[in-house]
Parts: sequence; structure tokens; C-alpha cells
Amino acid sequence: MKQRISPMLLLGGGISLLTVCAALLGAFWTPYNPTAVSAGEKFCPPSLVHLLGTDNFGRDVFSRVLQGMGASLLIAACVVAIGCLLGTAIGCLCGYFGGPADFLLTRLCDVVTAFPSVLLALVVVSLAGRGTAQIILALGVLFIPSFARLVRGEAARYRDASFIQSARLMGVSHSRILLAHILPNLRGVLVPAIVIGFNNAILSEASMSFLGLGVQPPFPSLGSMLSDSQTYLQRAPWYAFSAGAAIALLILGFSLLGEGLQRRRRA
Amino acid sequence: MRILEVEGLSAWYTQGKTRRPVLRDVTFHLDRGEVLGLVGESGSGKSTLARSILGLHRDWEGRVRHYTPRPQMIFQDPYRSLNPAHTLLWTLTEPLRAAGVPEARRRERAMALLDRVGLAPELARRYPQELSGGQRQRVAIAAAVIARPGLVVADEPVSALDVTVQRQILELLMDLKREYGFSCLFISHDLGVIYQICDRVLVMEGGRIVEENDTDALFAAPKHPFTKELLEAAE
Repeated sequence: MKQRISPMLLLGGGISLLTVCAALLGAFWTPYNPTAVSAGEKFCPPSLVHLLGTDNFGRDVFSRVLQGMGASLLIAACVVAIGCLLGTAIGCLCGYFGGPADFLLTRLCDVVTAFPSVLLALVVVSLAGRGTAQIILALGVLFIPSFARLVRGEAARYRDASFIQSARLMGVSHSRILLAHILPNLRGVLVPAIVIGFNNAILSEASMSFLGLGVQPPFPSLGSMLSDSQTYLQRAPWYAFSAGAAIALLILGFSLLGEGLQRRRRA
Repeated sequence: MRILEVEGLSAWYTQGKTRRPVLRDVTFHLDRGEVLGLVGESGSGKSTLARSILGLHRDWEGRVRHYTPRPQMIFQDPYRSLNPAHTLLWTLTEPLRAAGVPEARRRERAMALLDRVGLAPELARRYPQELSGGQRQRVAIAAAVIARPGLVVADEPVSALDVTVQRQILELLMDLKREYGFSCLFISHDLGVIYQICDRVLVMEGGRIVEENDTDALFAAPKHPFTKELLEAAE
């Protein structure tokens, strides 16, 4: 029953692994201090000294990209963790038990989905202030419905399966049926959904930071770097290019990985 | 000694706001150690009766009493009656866990029964997807009886299987019945299968029980026109 690994999965996995390693490296070591300002080294073009050049404050772009990728990945991981855990819990309970609570929660998810994400983020920011934790919370809530809807459908499908009815006849508790009998069957749909969600979370975080709602300066974030670099597009194109390419590489890797996993599941 | 008593059971399905009746005033009983056949055409309400008795179908009224804890069910489709996410060993130890058997003894009992139903010990680590229909049904039967229930409801347990496999599975079910001493409500549309294994037969038509008799008597001298029709069709 072993399946061959598709080129898409291989490429996606490779790029993802590369970006994750780069981010891990950035968490422990960068060639320069990514927040150290150096007035004499403004707008240096890429060279062996500064691999990706420097920005308007003379900060090393390569170091900032490494740390920015780490920030993006960490925030995306937290967002997906919130969305996946709460979404799966809600979806399982709704799909398995049904009833009025299911109806209410499903409608609530529809309402959250209908809300534009930037608007919700603005609401959270205006209530709780700017910052990383706030953006994780806002995006996390936004990610709940997609997981809840996916899991709800699956749980409802399994509720009437013969093997679940057998379990009920054996006297297995509802919580154990959900956790030990149904949940392991959801792995196949959850894994690709997590990777795709991760991808969307990176993109959302970058947009939030681009708008100045996410990671706050002077700490590097790919979104805010992209936003800052616009002003110096003529003088320092490498700055915009580096930030943009880093985002593109992250998205490309995880979307190929997610798509590959999903096709593998369908095959 | 009764193990199951059903009195005036009526059941229905709700479609929108209308009730579609499926069972009408069904009354019968099942004695300890007996194999009671329930025969009828598809759509006559046999499965709904089984599911109502076990509490898997909720829309019914009347009186159902079983004098045994945790009656079990064997389902028709062996491809959907085993959890695809777990190994056979897990599937066989889970009923024991639910019944409160200490962990140390579960594995041993599961392996012994796996052997008893004619499956090699290496299969314990396999998943249901890797087994044939007959093998799966053996596991499903083992999982149903492992915690020693007093009553097993078998809903067309062999009709999805090849004829040669059918016979083996029926023999296995009857052997286990003798060893484990459970009573059995055996549902089938196939009179040949019913004749082979049942002590007594209920004939169901349109949600009602139209005839009830000992197997030999019923096959020798059917009284109800519908029973005669079924017997003639089977010949």
C-alpha cells in the first residue's frame, strides 16, 4: 500500500524544509544583529559582506530576512494551532452530537467567515493594541471556521458508521468514541488542511504586518520589511526583492506540500 | 428463561414533518440460548427492528426489555463495521476495555479469540483494509462476542459474502454460540440460511410479524400466505 512520493510533494517538502532550517538558524545565529543600526552602511548593495545588502538604517537585510522568516513561521504555527485545536473540537462535537448547539455554532462559523479578516484584525487591534499576540489571537479566531466545517462533516459521517454504533453498544463513553474512535480517522483530512492553513496564515500575517498591525518595529517581519522597502524601491531594489522572495518561497513550499498531500489522499 | 421481550413495538422514520411507520405492533420474545430467525423481504423493517431493540434507532414506542447487559450487533457490511484507523488487536481489545477487563488480560484474550476465529496471529497488527470480506466478518464476530454478551443481533451477517465463505462464517457463529452461550437474533432474507441455523423463525411483512413457529414446523407447514410465497420463491 506504499505510495510513490510525487515530485510536487518532494519539491514542496524540500523548499519547506529549507525555509524552516533557515528560520531555525535565524533564531540562534545571524551574521549581524538584525536590529543594529549603522548610519555609515545605509543602502549597501548585496556583496560578500552583506549578502542581501542593507536597508535605510544600515541593517543587514539577510539577517532580518532570516529572523523575519522565523517570526512568520512562529506566528503561523500559533495561528494554525489555535484554529486547528478549537476548530477540530467544535467540529467534532457539532458533527457527532448534532442538535441545536450544532446549528448555532455552524451559523456562528458562517458569520466569522463572512467577516473580512482585515476588519476583524482592526477590531482586535483597536481593542487590545498592536502586537504579535493580538495578531495571533485575531488570525487564530479567523482560522477556526474552516477547520470546524471540515471536521464537522467528517464527524457526522462517522457518527452513523457501523463501527461507531458497535462502540456505543459496547458501552464506550462519548468522549472516548470522539477521541479514540473518530479522531484517528480524521488524520487524512487534517494533515493537508493544517499545511494549507499554515500557508494561508503566513500570507495573512504578512498582510497584517504590511499594514503595520503585526510584529512591531524594530523587530523584523517580512510583511513590514516589504512595506518599508517600497519607499526605497529605486535606491535599494534588493531590499524589496529579498523580503518578497522570502515570502514567496515560504508560500510556494507550503502550498506545494499541502497540495501534494491532498492529491496523495485523493489518489 | 427470557433474554429479550418485545411488546407492542412500533417504530417510524421522520421525514420532514411526516412520520413514515416502519414497524407496527411487533411482539415477540427470545429465550436464553436460542437462535431466533427473522426473515422478510428487504424494506420490511427487519433492520429497524434490530436497531430499535438495541437503542440505535430512537423513534419507537412500546416495550423492550433485555435481561442482559450490553447486547452486541454484527452488521451486514464487513467493509464498514471495523474501524479503519486501528489494528485488529485494538479492535478486539477495545470491547474488553469497555467491559472493564484489566489491561494485562486483554491482549491474551484477544489473541486467543483471533486464533479461535481462524486468523493467524500476525494479522493482529494489520488494519481491516488489508483483509478480505470473510476475514473482516470473522473479526467483526470476534469483536461482538469477546466481552461475552448474552445477546447478539446479527443483521444479515453473511449476505455480503461469497457462498463458500458464507457457510464457514455461519459455522463459526454457531460454534461460538455454543462456546460462549449467547442467544442470537439472526436476521436474513435468505430462508436457506435461516433453516440451517435457527431454532425458531419470525416472518415479517410490511412491518408486522405475520407468522411465528419452530423452524421445522414452519418449513413443513407454512400457514400465512406470505410465508408460503417466500418458501415457493426459495425453491
